[in-house]
Amino acid sequence: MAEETRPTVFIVNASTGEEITRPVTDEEWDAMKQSDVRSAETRAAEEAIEAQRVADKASGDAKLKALGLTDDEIAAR
Amino acid sequence: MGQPVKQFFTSTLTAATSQIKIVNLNASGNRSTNTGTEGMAFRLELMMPQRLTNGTQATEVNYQFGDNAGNNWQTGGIYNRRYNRYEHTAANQYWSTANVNWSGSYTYSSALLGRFVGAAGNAVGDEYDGVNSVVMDWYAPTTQMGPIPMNWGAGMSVGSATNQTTTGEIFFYSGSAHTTTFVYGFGSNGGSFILYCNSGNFPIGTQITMYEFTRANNE
Repeated sequence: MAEETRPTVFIVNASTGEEITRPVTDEEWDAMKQSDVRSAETRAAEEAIEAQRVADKASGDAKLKALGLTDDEIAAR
Repeated sequence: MGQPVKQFFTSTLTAATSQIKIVNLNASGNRSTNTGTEGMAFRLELMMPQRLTNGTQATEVNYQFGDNAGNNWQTGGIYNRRYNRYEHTAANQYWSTANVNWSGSYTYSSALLGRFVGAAGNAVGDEYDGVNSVVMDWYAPTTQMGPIPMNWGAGMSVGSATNQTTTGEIFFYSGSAHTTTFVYGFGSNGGSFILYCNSGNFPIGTQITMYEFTRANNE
């Protein structure tokens, strides 16, 4: 994220009711960037798992069809 | 969860922000009315009147615990996440059993509240639906109890960007944590949390409300 996109944070003090909106500090911003990287990595890993599942399902369906099952029979499994 | 006791704050964003921090919960005097000196139960409502600002369909909302002053944020080792899918086609509508499992093993520095709809992404329900909302119940154990899952939350978004009326998937994430001193009911070492929008902003008008609940059966 570029400097001009530095985000803001909204802080609520549950004891006093005070509300503050301010730009994030350097430390907070570093933590956010690290979080973004981790989220992207996690999402990529989950999508890879899902892509493999879809491929396995398609492969399995093709093999079942080769054995003579109809589309309805395959879908009903 | 037991019964609601009271609403103890509600706040509305007047500017788009990527983080919402709630601090000083421990010092606020709000406590579960069941047994135990540390245990607490909360309901958090996060209502967004429109899509996330600057987000995409991959934009995620996470939460993370810290100490009462809003410092010393938990940096890892306590959070988990679960990916739940509803696979939807014209002929096939069911909860998918694939990939519905705990993802990771308490390896995250923050817990995923949900993958929400970004300005450039797909809406909940349909492409014109810009409202996002989350209700998350937390029950925090007393210090006398062993580690148990503490919190659950979910968001929803359209998973597959098919823009079709009969295909795609709907999914949500739920997160859990096991106890550390940071999450003992926002007790002596806890008392704050962050809601963080990855690569996006909560829009103006986002409302966050917390209620105190009783806890059931000494949980």
